[in-house]
Amino acid sequence: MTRDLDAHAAKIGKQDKIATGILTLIVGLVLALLAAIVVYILFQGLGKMLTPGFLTNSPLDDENPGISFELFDSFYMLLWTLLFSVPISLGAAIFLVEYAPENWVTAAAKTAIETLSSLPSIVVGMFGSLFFVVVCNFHVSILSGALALTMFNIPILVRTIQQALEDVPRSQRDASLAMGLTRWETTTKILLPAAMPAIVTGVVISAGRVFGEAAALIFTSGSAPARLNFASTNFGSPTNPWNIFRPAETMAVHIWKLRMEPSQGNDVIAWGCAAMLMICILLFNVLARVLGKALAKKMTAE
Amino acid sequence: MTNTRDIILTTEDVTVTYGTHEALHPTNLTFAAGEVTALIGPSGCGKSTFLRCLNLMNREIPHCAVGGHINYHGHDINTPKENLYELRKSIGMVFQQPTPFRKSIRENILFAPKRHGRIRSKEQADELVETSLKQAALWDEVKDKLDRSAYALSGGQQQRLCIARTLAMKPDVILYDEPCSALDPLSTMSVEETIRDIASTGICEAIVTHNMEQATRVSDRTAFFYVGDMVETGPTKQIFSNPKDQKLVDYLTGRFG
Amino acid sequence: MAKTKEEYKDKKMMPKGQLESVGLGLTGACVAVVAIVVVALIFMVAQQGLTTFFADGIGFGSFITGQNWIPSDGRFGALPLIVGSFSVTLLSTLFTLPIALGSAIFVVEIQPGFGRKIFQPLVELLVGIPSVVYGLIGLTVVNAAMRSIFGAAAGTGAGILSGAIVLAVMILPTVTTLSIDALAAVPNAYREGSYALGCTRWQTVWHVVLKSAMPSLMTAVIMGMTRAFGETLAVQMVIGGVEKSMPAGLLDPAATLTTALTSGLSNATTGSVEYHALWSLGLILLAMSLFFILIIHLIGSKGAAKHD
Repeated sequence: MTRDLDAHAAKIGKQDKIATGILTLIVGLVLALLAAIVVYILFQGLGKMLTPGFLTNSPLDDENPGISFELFDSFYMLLWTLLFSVPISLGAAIFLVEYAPENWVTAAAKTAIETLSSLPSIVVGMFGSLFFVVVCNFHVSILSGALALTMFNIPILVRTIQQALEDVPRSQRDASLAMGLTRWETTTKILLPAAMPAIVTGVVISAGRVFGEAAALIFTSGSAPARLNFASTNFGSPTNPWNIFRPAETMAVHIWKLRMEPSQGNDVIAWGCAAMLMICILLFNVLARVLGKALAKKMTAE
Repeated sequence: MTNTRDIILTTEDVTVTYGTHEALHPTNLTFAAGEVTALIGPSGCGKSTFLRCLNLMNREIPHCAVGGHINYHGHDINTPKENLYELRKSIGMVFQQPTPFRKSIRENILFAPKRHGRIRSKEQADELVETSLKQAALWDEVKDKLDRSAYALSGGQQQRLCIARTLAMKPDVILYDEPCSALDPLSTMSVEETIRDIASTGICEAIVTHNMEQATRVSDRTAFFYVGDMVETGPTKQIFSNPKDQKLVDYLTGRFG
Repeated sequence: MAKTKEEYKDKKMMPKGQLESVGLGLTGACVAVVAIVVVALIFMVAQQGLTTFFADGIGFGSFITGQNWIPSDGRFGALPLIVGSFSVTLLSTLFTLPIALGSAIFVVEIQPGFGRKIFQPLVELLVGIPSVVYGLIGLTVVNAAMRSIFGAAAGTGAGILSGAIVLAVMILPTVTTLSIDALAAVPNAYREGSYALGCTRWQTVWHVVLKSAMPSLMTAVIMGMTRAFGETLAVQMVIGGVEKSMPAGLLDPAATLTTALTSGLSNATTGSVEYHALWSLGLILLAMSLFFILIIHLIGSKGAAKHD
């Protein structure tokens, strides 16, 4: 009897050890995979990326094509996307946290945002290619692309901002309302400043996601390298870099395009582009944490 | 005592319902200028819920409905037409946890007056900061660091800053929701003293507390709540020395808490 | 009403009630814009997608069950694409699940400090890697691996299996993070109760923790599947994508709903039958995401009902 129990105890003890071992192995594998992916991208692309001229030459350069236009377009597109998506998400999140009456309108709005978050980005791109490009008559342009990316970004941002606002202690809200202030004043003057570190972190992380998105852009902002003339002063010209009604090709779209049309040398450029993209996104991640921490520190230190 | 003073607030059959559950049964109470009224009772008895009716804070809670009449200077404020923002300028509230904003001490005091358009000059602002802090007995401790963050203050100081912030609105009623339950005994004493001092300037005060000693120290009148009912009310001395209702007797002798 | 002291006669400002209406109006407008855009999207996808069946004379049945997707021939059978989408989604979920669950158990039950501080931020970094970059890696590494493992049978290496492997890596962070949250939400009292009965850690995890976290874990899996189902460019780059008939095996190149959409939309003329048929694919994708949301809600309300 006792021996049976002992044997059983030994068995389940052994089971426990084996399970722990397997789990440790899995985690090790995941970390190794992550490291392998990052290292592989850099290994394949860093050499090309650091080649003189790669980041500064035009993609149309015959001798040594670079990605300068794509680099510019990626950041310029991101800028417009954030200009559209941050205010709308901020407003929507404030409505949902502070004002939302508990009725079917709010429920419908929440469902709409949830739907948007689970939609494949290609469907957003497809919608944009008809709605923004044709119906709104924005053509294949930075504007259409940024609007498609805005649709992609809004659900992510609304969720982050909502969370950040909800994390501000209730008592802060009550104290302000109890002094006869409106929800609007309470939100803009008390809650938003308190939630700012989390919001900034969220916005920068979402910027990283937007930066790498390509499927929503192929049919809205185009997949052909733009011809840009940085000396142009005609803001209506399709070669003027600042013109938001011109087509554009971001780095992410460029990588896809190069792989879809394989030809000599494209492979190396695609990897160089991928390395640059990866580094930008790593920087976004670092920036998000650093900015968030710095803001939080500034707020509590004074 | 009541008849010699001005009545500021009276409630007539005030009830609070969350959805279909009546959390507070019809309650009638009177609050006079210069008096401190303590609302006591075991937790969940409806005393905080009642307090939050008086400045219409329950309107901020979804599915919460307040019935009956609340007369403030003889005018029923429990109507949909009542201007919440105007009302809350005159009926201030101090919460359980000190709730300073993430701003400087000065900005904490001036935040609401500014938003209500009451600050016209720097001199007036400085004067308001000084008188409010003096009234809350905090001036001497913070006068050299008005531009420092309110979070640099101790818990008791933060709570007195919240009182000063409320005083800066020049209210004639201040409601306290267990203002000392997050504080140590020394801070509690200073806050209690502040409450008494404020009453002596003619402001009407109501304090929710689960601490019976505190009720005897700060209040002139006491109301005892039990499971959503206001069971007994009267001068504090009488409530504690000569309780009539059996539930109150049980509560005071510690049969439940 | 209350005393109006002369020195506090308030400066003229926007009345509070009006200010509140402004706030409500501004933020409400933002929500309204989002809602209108989503409604417009659903409407437009439905309108364009249904034209195929109502105006272009293609039967819904033959569209769903047709075994050849050759738009140039006017053959619009979406079954190979549907099969392609479902097989990469299910396979990738199958690959990811044990790894995600194992990592989550390790992080929550064995090394919480390491998990929260180091593992989770690193895994979230994987979410940030763009899908085209995954596609590029898949094309180079996974397809080559397929060739060297399966030899001639793998052809170029492009196929459903390669697509599923790349997708598995892509949805790993989503499933892992949500699983970690699911396990971390199990009250500690459950674990202590189990330990008090003399159970080992493994028995506790297996019989107590996983069981009570089941609804949230299922949500995590569905969220991963949603992402896999809608993923486009990475899959397109590794799956081959030119074959438009039924795939015969896992090593066969194939197309999915999303990849057929991407490669078709740039060539199709607006208003043509092919164009409408592509929107019909979009409509299926839309319906699937709504279906996934519905399942998540069903799991959620069932879980809530159980806890009440």
